[in-house]
Amino acid sequence: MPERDAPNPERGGGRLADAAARLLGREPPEAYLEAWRQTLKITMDKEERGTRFSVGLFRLGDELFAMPTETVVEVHPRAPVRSVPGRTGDVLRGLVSLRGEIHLCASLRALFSLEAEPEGGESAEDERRMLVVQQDGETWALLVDAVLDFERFEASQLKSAQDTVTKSAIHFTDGVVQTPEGPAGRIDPKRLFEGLARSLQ
Amino acid sequence: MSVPPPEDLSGFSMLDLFQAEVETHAATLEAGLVELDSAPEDLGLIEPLMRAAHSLKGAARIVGLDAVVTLAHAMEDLLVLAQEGGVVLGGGAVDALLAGTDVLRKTGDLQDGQTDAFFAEHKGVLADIVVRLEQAKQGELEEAAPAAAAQSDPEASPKPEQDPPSEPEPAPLASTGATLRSAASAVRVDPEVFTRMLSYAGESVVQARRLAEHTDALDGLRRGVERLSLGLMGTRDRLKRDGFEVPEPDPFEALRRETEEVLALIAERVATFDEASRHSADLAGRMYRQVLTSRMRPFAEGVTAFPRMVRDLARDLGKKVKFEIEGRDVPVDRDILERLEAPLNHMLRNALDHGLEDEATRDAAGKPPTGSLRLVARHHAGMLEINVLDDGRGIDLDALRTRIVDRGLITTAIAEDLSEAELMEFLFLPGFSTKQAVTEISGRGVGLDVVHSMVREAGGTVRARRRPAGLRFTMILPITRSVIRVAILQIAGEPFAFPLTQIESLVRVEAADVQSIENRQSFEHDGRVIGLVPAADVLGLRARQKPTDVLYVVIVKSGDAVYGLAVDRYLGEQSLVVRTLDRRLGAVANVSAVALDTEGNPLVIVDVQDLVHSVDQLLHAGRLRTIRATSQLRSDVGRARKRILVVDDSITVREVERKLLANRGYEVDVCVDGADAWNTVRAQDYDLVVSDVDMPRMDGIELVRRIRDDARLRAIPVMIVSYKESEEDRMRGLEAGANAYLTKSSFHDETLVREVADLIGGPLERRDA
Repeated sequence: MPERDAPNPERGGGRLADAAARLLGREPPEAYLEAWRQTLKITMDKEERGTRFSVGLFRLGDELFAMPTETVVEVHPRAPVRSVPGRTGDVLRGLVSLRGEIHLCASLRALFSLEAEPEGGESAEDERRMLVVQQDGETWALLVDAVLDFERFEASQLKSAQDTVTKSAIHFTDGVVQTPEGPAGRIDPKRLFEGLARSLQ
Repeated sequence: MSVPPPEDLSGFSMLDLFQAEVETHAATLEAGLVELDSAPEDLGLIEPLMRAAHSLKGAARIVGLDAVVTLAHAMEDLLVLAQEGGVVLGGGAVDALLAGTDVLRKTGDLQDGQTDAFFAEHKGVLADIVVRLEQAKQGELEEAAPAAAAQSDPEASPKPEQDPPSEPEPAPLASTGATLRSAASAVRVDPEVFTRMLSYAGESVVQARRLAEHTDALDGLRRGVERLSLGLMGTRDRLKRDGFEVPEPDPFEALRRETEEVLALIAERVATFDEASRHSADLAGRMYRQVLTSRMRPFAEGVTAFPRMVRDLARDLGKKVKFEIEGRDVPVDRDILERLEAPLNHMLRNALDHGLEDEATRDAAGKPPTGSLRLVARHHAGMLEINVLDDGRGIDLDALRTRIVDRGLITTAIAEDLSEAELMEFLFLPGFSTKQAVTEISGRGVGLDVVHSMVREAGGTVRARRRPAGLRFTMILPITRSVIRVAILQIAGEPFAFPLTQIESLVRVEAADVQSIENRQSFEHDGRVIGLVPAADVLGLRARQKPTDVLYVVIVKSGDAVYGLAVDRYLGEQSLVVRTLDRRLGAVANVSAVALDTEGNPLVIVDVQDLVHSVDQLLHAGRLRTIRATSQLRSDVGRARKRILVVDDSITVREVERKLLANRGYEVDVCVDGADAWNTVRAQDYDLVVSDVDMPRMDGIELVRRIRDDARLRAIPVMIVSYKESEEDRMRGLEAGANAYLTKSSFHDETLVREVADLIGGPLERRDA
């Protein structure tokens, strides 16, 4: 600390503590953040461009789907969905609260034009979940029947979608992977979010 | 100037530190100087100012801002001298010190790399202020001040008159402390982060409440073991009575002792758990309230600029005023506080310019030479009340009356009858000013009408009243906009919140008291006939009505329109923390906001005004269902009738079908074409759709296809009734997915009714359907 005119230990202590608090609480320099951004980006790019990708497998009725893992925020047990008057429809079901945060909730069955979920009481074995997905800061809680597992695949294992994926669901997938449970359509997040956005109109 | 190069990170952060320090100390200086100006003899006020100037000098030296060091040094010198009694700080000296403070504050806003340019530009100003400070030290400043001030800072308003030496003020103002604490220690929080904090705090309250349920469960367990123990001993006694010999040592006794131990253990655990859960509930509750109150800021924080503004303006006008702020610590919602500044600013300027007289006039009126201007904030009856009081010339009611009549607003006769309060209301009308000349000071294109609308936007009201001397403006505002009291009502099986301030009342109506006129239902309440409307239909919610003996009705009103909205149930009252609806939804009709209920689930808050508007529209379109009350269906108590939607563009056919089916006991709704039907069938529940084929907008075939393609609707049976009788047409209808294809000749016999009965059965459903 450079010299001061009138040293005053009592006040000086307070000022030092203040200064330290401000120093430690300051925003990290942009260059530092950018350096880390680059480092992390390279790792992800390599993974993407490289030979493997990771998906979360989930079920809607009899069909399997695969959601790219980087899109998935969390898997949550079903929470009560509250209607938004005038907006709630087949796809947009309404609002749910996850740990106090309120999210839009949509039915993937309806978006994919699959049969509506059978009405049924909840039970302990209830496998129904909400798959919380996020892209570009936009979050959705999606109603799915069950979430099975997260798995990695080689890029070469991704086949072009065919009859195994329901005709309307095919608009939201970019390929099919074979899993022990059967073929699963891989969701294209871009098309998914576009479809979800349409349900808001 | 030796400013560290920007790439030097340590220097970078030191400048940040300097700027934070400038912010703190400049605020101290400004508030303290204004206070000192009205009480120059109070040497105790100088001490904190000296320290602030001293700290700034030190900080500026660290970052190498030599010009700032010089300025702060000169300010400190003057203040030290004044404190030692070497000089009395008059208005001119305070002006110079304030001018110095202004420059210091500007250095606090400088971006890195701007410093050199800034000091080059302000070199003259800085030198001039230092000269004035020197003059003040010699006690020479009073004469020279106005001219110097005019040159020194181009932004400052000219000081037209010289300031007479301040008179000693008997009562020093309220403590400086309250003003100073605010900005320095406050932390800025990103609104999104705040929302998330509020979310988590709310959720932890919900979770803590769930813990209490476990206490109850554990307690139940304890009681169970107790019963076992009692049963055990009862069994032993019975065995003994029946002549069984209990061996020694008594195995029952051993078991009893063991259960006692288990019981003690459980009791201990229950107590520990109970304590932990109470503690956690208490903590969660405190955290939640604290997060909520963190939106609240002391009133002082919103009015920091006013003492300086009032002082400078009074000097410009050559008036003497003592400005006091009371209720600095009164908590006010940040949002409200921001909205207050502009109207308050205007009212203070108004009072200074139009209200307070100059010294000579006051003297002639026998008033003390120094005018009084007070800004008082307090909480009253759950609202924030802010008063602006002056002891100036007030309002001449006769002149006001004349002016109102002159402007042609009302006739002389009416004006004579108006009360004072009513007359004062005219002050807030657009373009109404009692002083002809719009002066630069309070003119500024802002009239009291703007004050009025700004206060209203913040959800408040403003009134003016005369005092024995002067005027009192009173603003009443909500303390916070983030918590509201609501009634929770169940509609279509889901809870919705209605703000209590927006509903007239909640009533129970016996189904027998519901009258039906032209198929519109109504009931009498407090001597008024109120139209009855199903809330679910207005909100566009799918609801299957169940007939009831008692209706729960919420009475809402907007303008002339009064409606009774029938809801399923009344669930209770609650205070909710309001949050904005997801922006992706855009503006949603009938909805104002969203909140979390006590279980932590989302709760939609209804916009009642909008809702009333929607009812108007629905009534206009004739799209409202009637409410089924048991009294109207005496023979079918407890049963609901099956609902059929009849679609035909011919009114004759529509009516024939409707009557045929209604006579059999079905409930029948009608639509005029396929598009109309498609909207209706999605919004409500039907057991059967009966449709024509050839219709405008959407034909019957398309309607059937859409219903069959819809995951939720595809199970609804559809019957086509058409003039087209060829086999080809029939096949077309059935291929699209119709369950039956009839021709219109079927009206003449029982065919239509029989086919309907075949498809969906009789008109009555089972009780539990």
